[in-house]
Amino acid sequence: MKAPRIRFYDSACVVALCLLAAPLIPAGFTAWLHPSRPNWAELNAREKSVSQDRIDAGEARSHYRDALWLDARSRADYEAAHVPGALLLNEDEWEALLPLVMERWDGVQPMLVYCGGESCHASEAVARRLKRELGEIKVLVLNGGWPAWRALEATP
Amino acid sequence: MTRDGKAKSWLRRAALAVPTVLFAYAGAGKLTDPAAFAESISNYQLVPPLAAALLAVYLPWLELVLAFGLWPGRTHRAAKALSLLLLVGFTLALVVTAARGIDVRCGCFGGGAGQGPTAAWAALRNIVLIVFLRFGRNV
Repeated sequence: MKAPRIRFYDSACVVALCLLAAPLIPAGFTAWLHPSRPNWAELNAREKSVSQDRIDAGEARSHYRDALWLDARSRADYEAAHVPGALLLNEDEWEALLPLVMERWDGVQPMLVYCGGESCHASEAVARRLKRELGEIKVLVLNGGWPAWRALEATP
Repeated sequence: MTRDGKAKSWLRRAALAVPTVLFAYAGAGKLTDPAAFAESISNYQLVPPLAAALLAVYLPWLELVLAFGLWPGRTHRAAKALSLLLLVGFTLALVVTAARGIDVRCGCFGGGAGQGPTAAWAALRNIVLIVFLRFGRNV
């Protein structure tokens, strides 16, 4: 008796490929029609500006004293010590804190975000989110974060 | 089937239902705001913005397809393998990101950056899901 031929579409690999291909059509429609579809150009531009709009503590202190300073760390860190005049704005309490920031912001002054240091990316995340929610506004990220500020303040 | 066999079968199906529901819920959740999900992916700093945008529209649908694909006999094996791969991939991304010191909220169920459990909890949950997936059967 001849062994039954294995039909090619029985192969798990083919099925897997079909499963991987199936989402492409609805994904295409989503990218085309969804009211909240991702905008690559915007994402790209924002990525560029977040990586470019960074300044050092020295420059921040001398030229951006009038900016709205935002602390992206945890509430505990903020309350322990923060840059005088800075407002807390972190992702944990975003909904509660953003209105307070908006109250203080005059609509035109640049914003300057800092967080815990070199390896902390919370300030970038906050900057990105601010640009996303408020449109094309000037948001700077402080290189070196809070430790850089502390070091600067310690020197006369 | 013996009574014991029936109970085991029921258990296995219940086990399969867990990742099914979670995948479907996760996929649907991300579809409510793909732009926010793209933002979340960006925060991981693992892929360039274009890839983030493409993944943001593709991944949710993949999750939905896999959730349903786990049940029909013909697609069960492939869907299971792909789901495992996906979960392993997600977990790796979380681990790598946490190791790099980037503070990301998971974004696992949609929502913008800052939503969802921390990387550690999400990774743990993924591992639990992987276990359910291995144990689960559709018969």
